[in-house]
Amino acid sequence: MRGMEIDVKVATILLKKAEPPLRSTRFSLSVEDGTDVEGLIGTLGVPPRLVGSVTVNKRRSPRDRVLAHGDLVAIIPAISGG
Amino acid sequence: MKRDLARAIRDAARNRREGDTDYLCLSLNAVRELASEFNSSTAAVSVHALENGFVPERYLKNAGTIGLEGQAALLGSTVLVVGAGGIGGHVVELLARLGVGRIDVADPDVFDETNLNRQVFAGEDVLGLPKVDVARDRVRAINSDVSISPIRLEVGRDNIAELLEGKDVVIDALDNLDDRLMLQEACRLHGVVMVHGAIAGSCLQATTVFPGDPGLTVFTPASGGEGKARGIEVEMGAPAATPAISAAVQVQEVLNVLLGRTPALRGRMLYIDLEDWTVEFFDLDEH
Repeated sequence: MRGMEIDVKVATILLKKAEPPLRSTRFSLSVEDGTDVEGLIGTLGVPPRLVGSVTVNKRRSPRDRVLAHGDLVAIIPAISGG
Repeated sequence: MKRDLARAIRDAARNRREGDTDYLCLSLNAVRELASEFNSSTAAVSVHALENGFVPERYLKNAGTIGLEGQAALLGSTVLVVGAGGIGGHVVELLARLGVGRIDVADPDVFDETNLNRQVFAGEDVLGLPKVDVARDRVRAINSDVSISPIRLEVGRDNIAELLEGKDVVIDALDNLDDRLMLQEACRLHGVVMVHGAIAGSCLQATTVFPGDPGLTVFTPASGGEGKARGIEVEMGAPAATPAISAAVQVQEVLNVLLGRTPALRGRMLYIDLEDWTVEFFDLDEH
């Protein structure tokens, strides 16, 4: 099965919270065909409860959206303190 | 009357040099005396002075970036600050010093000990007092040109319409996503710009939402709209510098909006992690 290449952008606070910690806020990643947003979060080891939103190609995306080759995925944390 | 005031202002003014610019300045005492003599407010005297090329000394250090016309515009502006906690307290103080003429600040809470680590109006002597009342007292001591209205209410769908009436801009200094989404929607309905800021630990985010912009709708509250969805701040807390910087970022955007300048954070969310100074912008546009 062919994999696909996607570009990922992760907010800095989630780098440290990922298990294992991520090293960079921007990177390219090969994922299996059929991977959805939720699957990507799992692959990266980011705790889902800390994710505020995921945008794909700069648009808000549901967690069950299947990714495509060349997609830009941004993982935005849940920050709401005041 | 106006001409007499104009002459009186000229007579009271003294020259001050800032770099290679000369300013004709009025001291605080001069402004007060003129207000008393002409049965006016210090704010009205200040606006008249600014519109005619004179600067109250309290605004002298604003002049280089805001200008005299801009300062007059700020004095004529009305702002609603929703939340008087970590972010909101700093926002109110900064707006008062900048000379925003009317500030409504809404918060139902009283100060408690856990606020002492970061909330600028929280002192040991005001624990148990309503935050908005303390804010009012502090603003009055800082800038008597400013009219401040303390609103000791929890902002919600039943009262937000009235609170938005006549506002030039709204600052979102709330503490949960559900209320923030409600506020953004209300601002959309009433055609008011909202400047959002939020914190968790050493991280802050900020964006400026014009009516109809997607803004915070990129987030879905985990609570599904029932209850108050909170994020990473539950475990990371709120050390003092973070809300102070969010407040300063938001106030700078408020300045842009009130002065008719391009808001730098419209359509994108600024993220800063103060621990290592990483800075990212996430687009909030939807094509």
